[in-house]
Amino acid sequence: MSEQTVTLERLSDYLDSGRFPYDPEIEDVPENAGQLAVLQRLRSLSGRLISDEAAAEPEPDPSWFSGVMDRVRREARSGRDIPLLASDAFETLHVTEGAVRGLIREAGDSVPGAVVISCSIDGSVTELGAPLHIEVTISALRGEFVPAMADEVRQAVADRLTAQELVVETVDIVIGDVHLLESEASQ
Amino acid sequence: MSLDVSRSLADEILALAKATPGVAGVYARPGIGQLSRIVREGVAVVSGSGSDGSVSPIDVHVTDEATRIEFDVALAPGQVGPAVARAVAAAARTAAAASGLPPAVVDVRVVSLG
Repeated sequence: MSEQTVTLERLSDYLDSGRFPYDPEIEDVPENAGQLAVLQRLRSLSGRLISDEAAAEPEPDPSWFSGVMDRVRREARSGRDIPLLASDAFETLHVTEGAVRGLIREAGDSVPGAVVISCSIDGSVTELGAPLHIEVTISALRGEFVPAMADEVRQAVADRLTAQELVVETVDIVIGDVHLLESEASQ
Repeated sequence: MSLDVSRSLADEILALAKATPGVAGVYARPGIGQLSRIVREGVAVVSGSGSDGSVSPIDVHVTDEATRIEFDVALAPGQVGPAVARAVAAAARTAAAASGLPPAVVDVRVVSLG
């Protein structure tokens, strides 16, 4: 699918246009649609969010967003195929690593104050039922009790993956940076 | 086996997959597998074009022993991927069995979990 990947600028322009007219090269290519969803989530934060290092700056640091989107684009690639339990030997079922990463991002981003920067999946990924080791690097909202937030992200990720019949052995949360809400930074 | 039968099967499986609850989209499996089969065995054994001339995302590859069916699906949010994939695969095998083609071997890959 990666040969069908569109540029970030094109995704951004498409969001600016209200996703109209319908662009099948974005909407109908899962890799691009996944990136569009993340970009939309990040944009929903962009009015409020600035990176900690940029707290003295009047505008949000664009490099923070572009850095996250760079990781999103890399991680959106299909990657390895993770086997799923099939009904019998005449079926082969799997889910792409990129799809699982997308689910991890969605789970992490759903926790208030957390933004997923990157995630990785380790273990014998291509073996059916093998335990997976997940590492999620997040940006945490300053002022939140980070251990509690990390626990919440860990639980959200584990719940989503377990619901997909994946065996999760560990979910490690790394706090990559701390961000502020714009309203706090201006005070 | 005639190309018409495999084309017809691809069209039917596409319709069944799209109609399976939880499926948001059906896609061709990218990669060199399909291309290499075309080169090796000729276009006639690979179902590519639908009745309207468009390329089907469902790859149906018929040999004397088996009917190999391969495609990707994207799921709607909140779906259980393995369950949906099993339902899609079962529908594909049922359609293949009714087509009179050799026994089906189905490969379904989930490329998006909503």
